[in-house]
Amino acid sequence: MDILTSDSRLQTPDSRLSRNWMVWCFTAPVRGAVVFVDVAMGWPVIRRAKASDSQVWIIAEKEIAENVRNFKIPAAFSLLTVLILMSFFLMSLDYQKRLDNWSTNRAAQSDKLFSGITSNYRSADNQMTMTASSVQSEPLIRKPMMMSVMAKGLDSLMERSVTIGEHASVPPAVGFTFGASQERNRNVMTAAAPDLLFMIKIIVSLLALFFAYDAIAGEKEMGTLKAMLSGPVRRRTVLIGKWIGASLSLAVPFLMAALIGLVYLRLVRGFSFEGAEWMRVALIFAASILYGLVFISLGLLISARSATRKQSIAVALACWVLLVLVLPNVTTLVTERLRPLPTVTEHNISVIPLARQIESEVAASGSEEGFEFPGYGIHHQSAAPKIRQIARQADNDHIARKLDRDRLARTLARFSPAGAFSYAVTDLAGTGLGEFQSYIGKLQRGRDRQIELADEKQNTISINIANEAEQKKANEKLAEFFEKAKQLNRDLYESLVVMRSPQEAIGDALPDLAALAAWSALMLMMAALAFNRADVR
Amino acid sequence: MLLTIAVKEFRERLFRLRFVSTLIALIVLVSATVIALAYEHRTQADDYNRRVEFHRREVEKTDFNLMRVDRPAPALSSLFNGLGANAPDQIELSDSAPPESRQTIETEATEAMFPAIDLSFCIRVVLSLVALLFSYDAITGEKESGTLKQVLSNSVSRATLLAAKWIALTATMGVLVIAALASGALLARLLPGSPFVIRASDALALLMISAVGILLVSVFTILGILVSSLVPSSSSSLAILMLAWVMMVFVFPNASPYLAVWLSPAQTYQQASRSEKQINSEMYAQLKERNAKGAEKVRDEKLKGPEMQEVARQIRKAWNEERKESLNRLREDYRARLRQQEKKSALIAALSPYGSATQAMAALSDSGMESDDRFFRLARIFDDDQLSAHSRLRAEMSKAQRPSPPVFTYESTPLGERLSVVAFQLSVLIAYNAALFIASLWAFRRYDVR
Repeated sequence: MDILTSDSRLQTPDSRLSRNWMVWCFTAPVRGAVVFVDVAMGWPVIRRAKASDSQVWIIAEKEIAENVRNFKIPAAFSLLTVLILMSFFLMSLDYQKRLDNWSTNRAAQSDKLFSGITSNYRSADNQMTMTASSVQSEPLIRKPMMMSVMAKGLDSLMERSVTIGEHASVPPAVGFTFGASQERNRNVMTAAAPDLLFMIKIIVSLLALFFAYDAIAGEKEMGTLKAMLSGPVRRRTVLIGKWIGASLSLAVPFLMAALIGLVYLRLVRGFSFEGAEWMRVALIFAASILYGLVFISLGLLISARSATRKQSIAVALACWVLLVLVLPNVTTLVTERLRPLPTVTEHNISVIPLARQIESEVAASGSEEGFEFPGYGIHHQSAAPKIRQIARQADNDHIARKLDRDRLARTLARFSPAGAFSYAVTDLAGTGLGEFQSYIGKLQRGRDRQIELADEKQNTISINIANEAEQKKANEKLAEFFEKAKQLNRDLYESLVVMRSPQEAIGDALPDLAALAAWSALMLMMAALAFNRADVR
Repeated sequence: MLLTIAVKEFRERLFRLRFVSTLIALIVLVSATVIALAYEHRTQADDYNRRVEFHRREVEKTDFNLMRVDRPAPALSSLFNGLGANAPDQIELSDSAPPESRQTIETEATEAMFPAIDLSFCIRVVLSLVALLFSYDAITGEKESGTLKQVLSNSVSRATLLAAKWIALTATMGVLVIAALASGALLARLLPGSPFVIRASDALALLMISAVGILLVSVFTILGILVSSLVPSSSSSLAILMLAWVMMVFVFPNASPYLAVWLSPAQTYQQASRSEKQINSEMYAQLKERNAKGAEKVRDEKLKGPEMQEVARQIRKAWNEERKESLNRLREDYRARLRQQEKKSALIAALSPYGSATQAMAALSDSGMESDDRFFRLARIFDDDQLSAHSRLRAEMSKAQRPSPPVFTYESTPLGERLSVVAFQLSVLIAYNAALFIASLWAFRRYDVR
């Protein structure tokens, strides 16, 4: 009998109508919602009533007991504990190393170092004079995020040294160029970080499939399924009971292992989180459980559609490979095709003709004589502000297109639970795409302030200097501007250390979490439908 | 007898739905991957040509104290990623500083989140899983269906049966490996505008890579047979194998670099950079002193114009060489320690057959760490030999008489060198095959077939 017509609240007058698939499809979302509300509303009722009175709870308990008996739960717990501890150990070492790296950089800012000498050789009267040496400090790097211990994400990308100064291809303009990555070990660079995100993404999904793949197919093979269903129990009850059983079998060991991991982090490795960070941690765990639920539902769906356990596990593993390994990585490739962008080199080269046009306009007017920049051409001082604006606009456009492409990739990645999960957790940990985009925005604003400073400098200091006194004053002014530029740099890096507020991070992660919830609901609905039509003989 | 059973099993498996569906799915996956990678390859090839042209013009314009040499993407880039965007493809050579390597391709956020998959991934990850799925019930499946005791009761030795199963399964998987590589290569060749041109050495490299792939899937096959003959039921066999697979393919290879960092720490980048800057600063202080002495000399000897500039140039030249040498020494020291760390992590990873296969495939496709090192070595040789010769000539002749600057062309690693690099990894794979086969023999002899 159709499980939906057997429910008194959903009884349609004409049961033949329920077999009309078209009508059914239109009404399915409503029916599904009602089913869920029914269970949800029934939950306090189930708990208040004695356990033995509730069929769902009986079935769930039976599932959990079975999972304990066949060692699935103990094995899952041990595996998760070992892997989470190992992950926290390795990632905390990595964080410590990066933090030491940052502290060295910080300390090096107050080193008084020479890195260049300007010498003037004046040919009159054999005078050779050596003048001021420029003191250049190492470009500042951003402090690593503490929560990168859980999800390294894009933290190493944001750790690169950034120099805001001369544009890469157009010397009169101001741009920002990324320096080397702080990680020089090539194996570390190419490996996926074995962080909590990685462990959960791979292991929890596999464990979920393992808990769920034989929930229905196994019982069908053993013959107990038809025995169970021949009694006064609805199919829906059986499915929900198994779902709850499998979910608890996975969620409870996971939470216990995660808590052990947190205790280890705090007591042994000395990581302490503050108030807001605890909220992030809690949300990461919640996201992980939601992620596990997706695969439990998927496992149940596959189990309901499979005739044997062997078929069930084969299909389940194929889906796993597709959803976790292939799809997220394919979105990278797809977005690159959908939104082709020039490489950084190409873009930098493309800015040169724009600048040269302005230069030639100034040259045509003949108002000043320029000087040569090797590799760029003749540069006229009066063209500089305009060139800076053009270069700035071109750079901003390029960045906007890149960020747009990244957002598209993120949207496409929601077609895979693993993709949505990765984006959500990295954002919650402060090492995700949202944080990265905010980081780029801060760099852009820093560069804009340097442009303003450069324009101001140009307007204040003239290059036609008549005598010694004026030269001295000009030198002083230059030193002043140099100091201002350094201060702007320091301000920029202070701002980079600040992580965005948890509200913003959660806001970014919310659509991904919603995608996970939608996946779970969809899989469960499909599992219910499949089980409803399944032949249990 | 062995061959008969093997051929029978092979034919049985070949014409089953699960094999055909796997083959089709594999080819679809490979095609999607290759289409994307070929596009990447073309972009990189164009970028390389553009850069080479740009540098050529730049060198003519500057007074040639800075030269940039580039490396093209490896020939098999349409199929294998290797180090990918993390590999420096440009090295800056100058008179006054040691060679500096750069990556011209900036790592994008999306790629950092999800690195692109390549053909190597398809074979190593997907086919190893398929190998396990085909072999986990090799013994337990037959036992459960009752055919095992029937076969063994017909004077077929256990060793023969085991070997036959192994050969049949490996041959089945071998078909998949070769299908993947062949379809990938064919598609890469046929795509319009594809830069995928194979010479003989690359074709041989591809053959070697397929051999490595077959060795890897054979390891997983025999592992599946081993576990299958150790445990009584199919589902526990699969559970154990899945655990082993996850450990070998995901946990261990990604954890080993971090383990190596713990076991063999090196200076951090900032520490090395700071020491370098301190030495640099000392050198500049020295330059100031020497220039002051030079100024005195000019004043005493009342030198003018070109002679004065000659003094300055001599001072600068000697100082440049000294600075370059001391900076080189510092960098070499840092690089040596880093390399030790990298070697350790490579060694740890190579202890597992999956890790060895990864390294072997990367080296054979000329996209691994070895080709990276080779590029650096060749650039150093170019710097020491040709560029210094040219700068000497430059100093002696006038601008008009100067010969054009030497051109650097990167040649990909010759096949012999690639093979010698992967000798260790190949022996690891063969050793695992042998050891696991012996273990399976022992386990199967003790197996209760009733």
